[in-house]
Amino acid sequence: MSRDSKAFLLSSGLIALAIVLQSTLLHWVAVRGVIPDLGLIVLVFVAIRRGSMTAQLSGFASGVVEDVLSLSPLGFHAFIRTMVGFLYGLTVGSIFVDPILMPVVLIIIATLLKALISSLLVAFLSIPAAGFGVFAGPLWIELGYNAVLAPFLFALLRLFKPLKPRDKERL
Amino acid sequence: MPGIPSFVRKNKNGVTFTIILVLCLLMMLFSNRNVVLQPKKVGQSFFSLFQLSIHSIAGWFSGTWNSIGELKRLRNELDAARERLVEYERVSRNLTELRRENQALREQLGFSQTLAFRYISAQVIARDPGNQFSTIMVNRGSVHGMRQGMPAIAFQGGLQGLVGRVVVVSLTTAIIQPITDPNSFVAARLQTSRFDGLVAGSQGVSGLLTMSYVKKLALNEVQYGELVVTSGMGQLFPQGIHIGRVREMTAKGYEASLELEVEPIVDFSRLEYVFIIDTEQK
Repeated sequence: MSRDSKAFLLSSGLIALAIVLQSTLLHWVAVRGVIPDLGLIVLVFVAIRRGSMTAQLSGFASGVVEDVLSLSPLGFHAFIRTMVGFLYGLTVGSIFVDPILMPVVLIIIATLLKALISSLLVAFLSIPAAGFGVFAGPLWIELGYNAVLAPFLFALLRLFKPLKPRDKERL
Repeated sequence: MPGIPSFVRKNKNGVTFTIILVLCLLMMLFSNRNVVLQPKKVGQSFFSLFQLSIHSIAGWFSGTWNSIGELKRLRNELDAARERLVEYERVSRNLTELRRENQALREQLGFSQTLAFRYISAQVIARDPGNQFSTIMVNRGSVHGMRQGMPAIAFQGGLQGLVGRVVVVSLTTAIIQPITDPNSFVAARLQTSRFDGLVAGSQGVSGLLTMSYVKKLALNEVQYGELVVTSGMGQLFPQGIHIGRVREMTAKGYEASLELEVEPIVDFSRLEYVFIIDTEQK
């Protein structure tokens, strides 16, 4: 099995696990009913280490899992995660990721990007979603939550060998 | 002709990206919550196994941890319960007499026997993995007799409150669409003033409901805090289940009807157990 296939399978599995945790255990530690998006953090990590192809495929696969477990229309989360994975994957090999600051910055931008794309989808496709608008309160709680967790999760994900960057893209 | 294959080979990333996005858009465009049931069902059946496992493991750990404190609390409660038992024995003697009296009064008033539906009790095992939708997943599926469209209720604060209705059923789990979902509509009635309307979930995270199409005439009769119940019209929900209480009234000059803001009876953040009503079996 090629390294790319391994990375795809591992990252898809990790994001799917994160989504299952989000729907069960993380509701116990929700802040005002808002839970962090661990799947997004894993996706961003995979994208900046392995590039667009792995990230967009993992994003799509895990997005479909999220759609299945949610009342969202099939394809909604898959679209958002594919988009985020692809865009972040374009930066592969061009960002030096330190242990704390860069994970926080990357995740803040990713959370805002996710909110923007989902708001556009909700508006253009008239999807009945009760969730946050672009600048509503829960978004900022999720943003803070994701930012705090990002350095820890990035440190943990660095332990997975198949998610290491290709040699030519190592900084 | 080297055109298309070489273009695809050169732009592998972009082509895959475009194909996936188009696929996502097509899935969204051609799916509403009714036609996507089949793929969702299969996926839900599979992934709910993980959700069930994690829920059970977490439940076991927290149960063991809590059981020590629980034991002490139970001993105190046992003493208190013994004392109360003596009191209840006295009350129960009076209760039998009251029941007989109540039955006689009901017959005199000509009340029909209150409808009693069969219930399936279920535990909430998972919620939405994100913050934008309001999914509630329970540990009962088609093998337990669950069907799409069945209403779900819960008992909180001494009242029976409407939770929502079952929208997706897999073998061992089911997804409930709560009444706070913007796609949920319930035919409702104000309990005291008897005006009809339609209760819908609202866009936003307030968790409040909106009751519309209430006649403007109701403005002088509706009270703040008045109970809103299901009207039974549309036959989706049985009549008389509590939905919420009136919190705010809006009467726009150019509209022929009132809009009421309703606070649900059920606190969805504390929801642990629900009862699924089988309206076909009494």
